[in-house]
Amino acid sequence: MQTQLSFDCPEPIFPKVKIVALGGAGGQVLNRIALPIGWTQLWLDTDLRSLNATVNGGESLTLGLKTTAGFSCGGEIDLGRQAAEENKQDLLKAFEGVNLVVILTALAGGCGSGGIVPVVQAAKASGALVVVFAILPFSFEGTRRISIANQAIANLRSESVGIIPLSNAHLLEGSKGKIALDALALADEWVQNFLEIFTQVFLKPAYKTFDWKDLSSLFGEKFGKTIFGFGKGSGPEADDQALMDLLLCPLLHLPGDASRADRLLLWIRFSPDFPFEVLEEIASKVRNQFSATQDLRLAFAVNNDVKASIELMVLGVIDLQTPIQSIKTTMSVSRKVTSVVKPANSSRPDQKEFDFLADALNERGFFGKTPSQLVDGEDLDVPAYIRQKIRLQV
Amino acid sequence: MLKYPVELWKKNFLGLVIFIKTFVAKTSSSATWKTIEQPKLKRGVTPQAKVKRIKQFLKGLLLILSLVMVMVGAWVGFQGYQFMVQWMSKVGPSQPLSHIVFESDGVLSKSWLEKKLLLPWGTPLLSIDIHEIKNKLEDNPQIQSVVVERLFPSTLNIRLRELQPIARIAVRESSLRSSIYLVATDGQVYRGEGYAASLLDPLPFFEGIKLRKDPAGGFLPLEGFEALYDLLTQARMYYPDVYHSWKSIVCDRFKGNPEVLGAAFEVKTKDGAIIVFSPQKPLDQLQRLEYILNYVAQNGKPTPRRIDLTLDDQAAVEFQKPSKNIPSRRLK
Amino acid sequence: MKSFPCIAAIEIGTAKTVVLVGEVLSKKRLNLIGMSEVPSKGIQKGEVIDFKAASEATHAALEAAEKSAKIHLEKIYLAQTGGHLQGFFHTGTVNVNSSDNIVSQSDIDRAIFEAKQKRLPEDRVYVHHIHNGFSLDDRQLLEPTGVQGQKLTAAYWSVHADTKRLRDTIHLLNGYGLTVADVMVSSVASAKMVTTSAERRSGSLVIDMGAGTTDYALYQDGFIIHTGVLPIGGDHITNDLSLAFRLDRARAELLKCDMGKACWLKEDQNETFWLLRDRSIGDRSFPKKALVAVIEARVKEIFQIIHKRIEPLVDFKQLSAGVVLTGGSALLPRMHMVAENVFGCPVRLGENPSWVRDDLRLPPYSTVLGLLTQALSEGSPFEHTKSTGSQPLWNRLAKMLHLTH
Repeated sequence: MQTQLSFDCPEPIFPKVKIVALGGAGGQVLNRIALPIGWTQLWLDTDLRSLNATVNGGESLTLGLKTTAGFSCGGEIDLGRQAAEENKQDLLKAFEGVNLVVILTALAGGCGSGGIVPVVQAAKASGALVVVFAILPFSFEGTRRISIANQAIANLRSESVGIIPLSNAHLLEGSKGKIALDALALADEWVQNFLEIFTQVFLKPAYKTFDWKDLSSLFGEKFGKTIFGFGKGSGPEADDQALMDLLLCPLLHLPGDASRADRLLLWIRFSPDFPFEVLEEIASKVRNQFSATQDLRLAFAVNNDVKASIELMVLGVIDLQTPIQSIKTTMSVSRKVTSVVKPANSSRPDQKEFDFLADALNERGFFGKTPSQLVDGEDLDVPAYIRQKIRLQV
Repeated sequence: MLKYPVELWKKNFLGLVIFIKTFVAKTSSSATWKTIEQPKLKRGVTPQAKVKRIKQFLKGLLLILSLVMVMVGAWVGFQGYQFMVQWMSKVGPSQPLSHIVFESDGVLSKSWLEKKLLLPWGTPLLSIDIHEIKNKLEDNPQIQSVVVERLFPSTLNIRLRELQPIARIAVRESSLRSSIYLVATDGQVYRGEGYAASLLDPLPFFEGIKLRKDPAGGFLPLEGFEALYDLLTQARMYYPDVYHSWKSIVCDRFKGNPEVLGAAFEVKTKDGAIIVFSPQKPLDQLQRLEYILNYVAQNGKPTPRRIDLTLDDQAAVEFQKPSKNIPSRRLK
Repeated sequence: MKSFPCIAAIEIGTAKTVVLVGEVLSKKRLNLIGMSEVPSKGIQKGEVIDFKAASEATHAALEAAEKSAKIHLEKIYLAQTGGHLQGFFHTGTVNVNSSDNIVSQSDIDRAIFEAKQKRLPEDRVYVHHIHNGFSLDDRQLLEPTGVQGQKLTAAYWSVHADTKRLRDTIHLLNGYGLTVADVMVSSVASAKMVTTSAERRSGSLVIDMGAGTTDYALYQDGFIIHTGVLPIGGDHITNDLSLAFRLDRARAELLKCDMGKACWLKEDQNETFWLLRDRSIGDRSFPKKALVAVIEARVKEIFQIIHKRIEPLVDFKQLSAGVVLTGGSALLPRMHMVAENVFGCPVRLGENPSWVRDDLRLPPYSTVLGLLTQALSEGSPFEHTKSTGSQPLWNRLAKMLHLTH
């Protein structure tokens, strides 16, 4: 297939973007990141007190005043759902005319895990494209939280949204050299990175290379797993370094799973001193790595501020309808979840492949199927270096 | 009624103890892995198990087949036994010996038998050793062969074949004593028993025969007896008058081989005449002899003193009173 | 058919299934006539998770063993491991019956009977009662018959298993038409193999590190006083590496075997390794320290858990024969260094005795060899030796009548 090179900079369309913080944790993240210009914010929580404490400009909405009387959901997923359902009309109104909704939430408590589905439904109902940043709990936070997260992701899967799971464990590992134990702060960093690049790629008029319609066609009707990753490189071997950085990006974790993308956007920003052949080489390497022979869209941007540096971003989708060889068997966890909770809007067939997410959730690798080996409250199937928070020098 | 369970209990006492022991073990202490049931292979889960199972099945089949064969064999054996028993009951059971049927082609009689053998009267028929009887009887040289049969329920049948005497021999056993032996048709020399004098009297004597001793006792059969036998039997059969006039046969010139030149028998008649026979072609010689005798009788000649028949188709006849004038004539 | 009786032993491990067939020449002599080794399937952490796959692998191993020995097996000895195995120490105390207070055989029998009386929950069954000697009025005795005293105590370390899991393993073998003659805990089987009787008397801890589990057995005064299973093994190291370096399982395993080391030394300072080693896309070099850190964290943790469990029972400084490592994972370089560090006593790598043929002398075979030699000495060698030496008549009769095993 031909790759589309869109160098001719068509007339930009400015989409309306709304960033939504759902629940306390989502609110904290939104609170700490710098927002691109022109983005509007929406704060959603059941906990009135926490909402008051975090809201920092923009709209805010207290969910489920009748259901929770202004208190938190206490980790009850059903309660969170009911609360969000209660305010569905308000949500529809809030999303009116918005083209892109970015939701920040943590899938461990009740509000985030339960409320996410009605919020997503409302946003979609008003015609917006939805991308969810889901912060997953630490494996050591206990199996209950992990199972809540699993359930929420399963529910979310039945909606057409881009989900970018932020696994705390991966974030910890990815934050080079830092000994910050605050997982949420790390999540901030990643979200910030994402938003920056996202705006660079899709929204910033000066470097407009992909329009947001590319995005909507990427996330089109057929929806699957989202692949998102980025990498940087500088110096004489900047291209190799950036590629490697991209492939090792924690968000692209488990190479087996992300090795095949049905639709892929590749965005490259480079310093003006880069030879063009190198860019072509990078593009073909990325295409091979992700087996994105079907549909690869390419965009370039030039960064005049630095020398000998290159940045890569991939955003892709793996369709779930097509059989995926590299993905092994269905997770028992996901099966359980889908059978217990019937997806509200299940127009698409059952979500079958789900394992790499679940693997990411509990970090148990190929022991995912076996019962946990709890010794002194620790699941020994989870790598010792993760539990002991040993930083790997990579 | 009561006895049986008690015996059974005694028999199974050990088993009961074991049962109680295992029962106690199972109920009072916790289970061991041995309580886990180990089911027999029913259906192969894997190809290997299937192969194994088929092998086991065939092995079992073979075992069953051989067992069946053994059982069939046992059944056949049993049936055979049953048949025997039935047959026996048809024939009648074996009873003590009460009758003896005795037959002989010779001169021996039942009373001889009773004297000779201690007959096992009263012994059940099946227990009698008929072979022993047969062997004992066959030890007697006069008896050629014996058949002993059981006739159920209580009869024993004994049949003898005896030697037929054809001639007599006087054997000098010491300087003082000699005894008469008989010569059977096959040349056997034996001491006859049970013969009536009238039966033996007509038999001619053999003279001048050398008897060879048998190391096992008695004498060996006569050598070249066939020639003698032919002469005697043919004479007796065709020329009985001639035969009856014979007293003895002297075999000085016969050494067993009839073809030796000069081999001849000299028959002494009761009249004191001597007839010389060649061992070959006795019938011809007898014919000639009769012709001579008839001729002599018809012509009123005196009784011949000696007739030599050995000269092929001629005969030399010597008369009782030889006269110097009359030379001996050759007859044609 | 062979003229000598044959015995077979199987270890259904997480990584491999090994079957050995031996010809019993005499009570103490065994001729190895058949062997097979097949990669296991459907087993994780020493337990059956996929019965069909496990059957396939196990039956393939059994068939291969039968072929190599040219006999048909009917009974087999089974080594059992798995996290479900647990043990406890239990004693049985009786008053000496006779008027002169001299211990008789019947007293011993009663004490042993008492010691084994402890009831288990419904879903648990005993695997072994491992004899731990006697004490008579607080005197430790090996053989109390004829000694004067009042209170006789028999001590046992009893190992019990989850009925369902044990049944699964037994049924794997039943599926091939075999009867399990005896079940033995893997740690007991391997421990006997890699230690000398002197080491067992002076005290020794044997750690058998397999792919799915780590089994350990503690010897003191010649008795096994403690056994345990940790459902963590070499597979976990592989899993850790696969998650840490985003590799699939096969590559992670290869990386572990080729490059893995249990601890990091200064001399490795500048060493690096290539992840995929084919320099394809995604391959890159890492400092070896990262690799070793992942492994060391896991290995150290395993030893620490065992140390924590054993510590109340024994003073490691007085464990004069130290720690013996065996099992496939013990072959990882520098394993003993980590163990020495954790236990603070001498550690050596176990080796099967010299009479074993060369290819079986490596640690991965100690369990199945131990099992076979135990099977040779017949019955349960952990029982009080006296009672097995001369079996009561009715036991033998019951055996003949198939009332018991």
